[in-house]
Amino acid sequence: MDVVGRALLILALGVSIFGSGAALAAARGAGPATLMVAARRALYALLALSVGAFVLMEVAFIRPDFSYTVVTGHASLTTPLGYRIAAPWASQEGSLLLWLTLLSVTSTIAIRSLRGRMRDVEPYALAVLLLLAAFFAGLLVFAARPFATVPFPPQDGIGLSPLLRYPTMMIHPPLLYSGYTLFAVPFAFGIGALAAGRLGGDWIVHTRRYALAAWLLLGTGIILGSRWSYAELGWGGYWAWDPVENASVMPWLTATAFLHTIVVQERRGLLKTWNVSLVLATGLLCLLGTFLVRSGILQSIHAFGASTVGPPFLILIGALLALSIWLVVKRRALLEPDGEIQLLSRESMFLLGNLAIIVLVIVVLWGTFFPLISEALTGEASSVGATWFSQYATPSALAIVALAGLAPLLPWGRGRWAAFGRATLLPLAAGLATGVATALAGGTGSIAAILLATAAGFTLVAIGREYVIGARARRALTGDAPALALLHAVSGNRRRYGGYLVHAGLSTLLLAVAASTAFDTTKQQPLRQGERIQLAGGRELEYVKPTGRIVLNSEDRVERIEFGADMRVWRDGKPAELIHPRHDFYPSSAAIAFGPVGRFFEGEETTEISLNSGPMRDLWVAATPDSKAIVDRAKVVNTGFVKLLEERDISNDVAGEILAKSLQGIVDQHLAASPPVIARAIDAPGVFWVWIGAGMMGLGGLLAVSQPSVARSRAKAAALARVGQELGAA
Amino acid sequence: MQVSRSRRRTARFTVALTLALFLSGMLVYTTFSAASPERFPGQIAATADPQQTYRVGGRVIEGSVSRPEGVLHFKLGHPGTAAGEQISVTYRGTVPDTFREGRDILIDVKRGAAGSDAATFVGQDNTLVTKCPSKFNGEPMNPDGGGPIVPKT
Repeated sequence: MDVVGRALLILALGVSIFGSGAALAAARGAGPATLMVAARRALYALLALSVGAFVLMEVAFIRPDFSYTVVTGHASLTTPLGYRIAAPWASQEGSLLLWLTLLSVTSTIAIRSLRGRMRDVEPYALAVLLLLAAFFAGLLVFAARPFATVPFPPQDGIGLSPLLRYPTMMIHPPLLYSGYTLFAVPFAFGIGALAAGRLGGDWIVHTRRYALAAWLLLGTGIILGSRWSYAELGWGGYWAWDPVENASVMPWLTATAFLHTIVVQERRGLLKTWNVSLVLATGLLCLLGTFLVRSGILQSIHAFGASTVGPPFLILIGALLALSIWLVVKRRALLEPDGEIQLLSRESMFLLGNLAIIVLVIVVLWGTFFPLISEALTGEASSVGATWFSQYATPSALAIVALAGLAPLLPWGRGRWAAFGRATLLPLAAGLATGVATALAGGTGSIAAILLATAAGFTLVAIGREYVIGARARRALTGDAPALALLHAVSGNRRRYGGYLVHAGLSTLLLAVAASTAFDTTKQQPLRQGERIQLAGGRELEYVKPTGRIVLNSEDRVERIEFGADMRVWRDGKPAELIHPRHDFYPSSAAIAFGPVGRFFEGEETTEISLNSGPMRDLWVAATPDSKAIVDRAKVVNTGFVKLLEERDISNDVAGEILAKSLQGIVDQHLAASPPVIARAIDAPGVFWVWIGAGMMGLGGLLAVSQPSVARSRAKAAALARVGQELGAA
Repeated sequence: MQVSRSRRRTARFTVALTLALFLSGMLVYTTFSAASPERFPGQIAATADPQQTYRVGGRVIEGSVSRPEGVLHFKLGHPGTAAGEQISVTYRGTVPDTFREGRDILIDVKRGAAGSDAATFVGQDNTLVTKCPSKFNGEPMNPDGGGPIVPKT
């Protein structure tokens, strides 16, 4: 099977190079007319080959086949099946293969859906897409080989990191990669439109849906990663401004920017240079994000370690950046705007919002790469922390939220100050009321939170007003009931109302972020049985008793050993719910290094928090026992167990029974000793609304992406018109 | 008075450029003034400025970890090898699950203030990070090849 896998990847590399060359030759008018057909077929062949290779790798993980290096490194006999299926993208090789597979899928859909349109642009776009595919196939053939095998396969593997055994982590990487690869479509068509000199609205109309879907998937992936960080990583936060987190958010931000300004280009013929630059920047930032994770060039908790794939990535990004700049400069005459933007207009608000977003992207890019920049300039590396990022992100977020509410209040073209003043009256009053309420509820400790609350209140009411106006207009036309009128108004213009819902979701999310970071309280201290911690809002947390158990998987193998704590929440002096935070030990496969007993305590550890989430506040609790004491006890038991094996001739079955009793003995000793735990309790107001806001944004994105394309709408309208004419004639 | 389109564009460009230069200058200044130098333990063991926060990358020394009363104590050596001069660190913030003896970590530290143990560095709250374990490829494999003893319950 490994030979087949390697052959599929080599063939994938071959057809990508051939297809890219053929498409480029067809674009330049060289060679026979059938070259473009051959290039398209090369893309379809690439799809079949990459999907085939991916299926082979999945089969190797599901079995699991430890003759593959990548399977041994990321799966084990105790890794549950669901996580074995998801394990390929925990590895460098598997994630690159996933990239290639998703790229071939999105490229095929984008090219097939053209149906004869944009014949000048298509060959260039196809050449770029296949060139990207050739790059990833080349990495898989020469640098990160997923089908590499070992001559003497071990009986068990290292297993998937327990930290990654979390439901949303199964789909987090595929969502990110789907977003990245979908952004390759507008990038390729942007290059194609520039190269062909066809810079009308066609390429934007064709690729907008891909960009919107990419934005939605990448955003969903980012928020699922945040949720995992909050619920699984044991530190109680959902965003740390880590280089790898920054790498995923930068293309999402530039895409957010161009999804707004391409509407300006469609409607008014403005911002053409700006739009094509943003589309190209988004594509390049996706590659940069992948490079950051793959190369290990920056210190990050997520980055892969020493890797050989960094230099090829740098060469590709450098070459595509140079090509992008050259093409934009070369075609600048074709990118001249058709008019000017008036200050009091919807498009000026879009542009200002874009500027706020791009300033934020520049700041994040600069801060992320600052260790390399400072080392190059001063000879010593320095880095900036979350506080530095937040001081720039806060004013940007404030501007973005305010503009998200201002833009819908203004018309396209030129607005009138009097009408604008009337439209802003109610939202402004609501914003000020929200700001005052926040100051009264949370104190004046955080000016940023109060200002964000004011902006969010303004925007939420401004957007609510748009929904009301839309429903009223519909009702005036049809006489529908209010709820039905609203439904019809929204379904009639899903792109517009989906966008408004995204704005409302973003305001909710950023307000929740401000509230949860400004007004949270954290308590961390050792607790003995019966002791309590005082929490905010008249609550207390009591350590009732320790817990412990051995958890077996479906094949009766020890999957993990849990050491937890039963803790009682007290509200206003009365006992409330009982919660069960715990700390889990996963076995290591290094039986010789740690011994038959010791290996069950020397693998990875995870903190499983207890989360009591609600609309007003979250209570996040972790309880960590003294891991070192447990491991030390295991070492003592291990020494005795090994001595017993050496002194007596014991069968494997009997040894297995003694081992099980030894493990249970360690757990029982822990329970009997009732040692203290280090309790960490975070009382955070509003975190619940971070996820609600993100959900609203996702729903809005889905609504917008479900709008039929302009071409299909026009075709439908023409068909309806024909039916109307025929009915009229009859 | 009508201003020509080209003059308006020039004026807008000048304003935008001035603003961009101002913001860039501010960005560069605040970054350099807020940044923490990145060092290895051997580079700050003897010469650390007590007023300066350093971001230190190093390997947690085997047998050096203890946690009396919830305060984490450990020693750091050079990353990858643990060789060279070591520093002692005390830390009260969140400890990642992946923190372990023999692993490489990053932490922001300051030298202990005068009157305290000056040889000990104080870790800044919630700055301790370790490499995500999924990205380690060099864990020891089952070297006996025969498989571990399986507990019989």
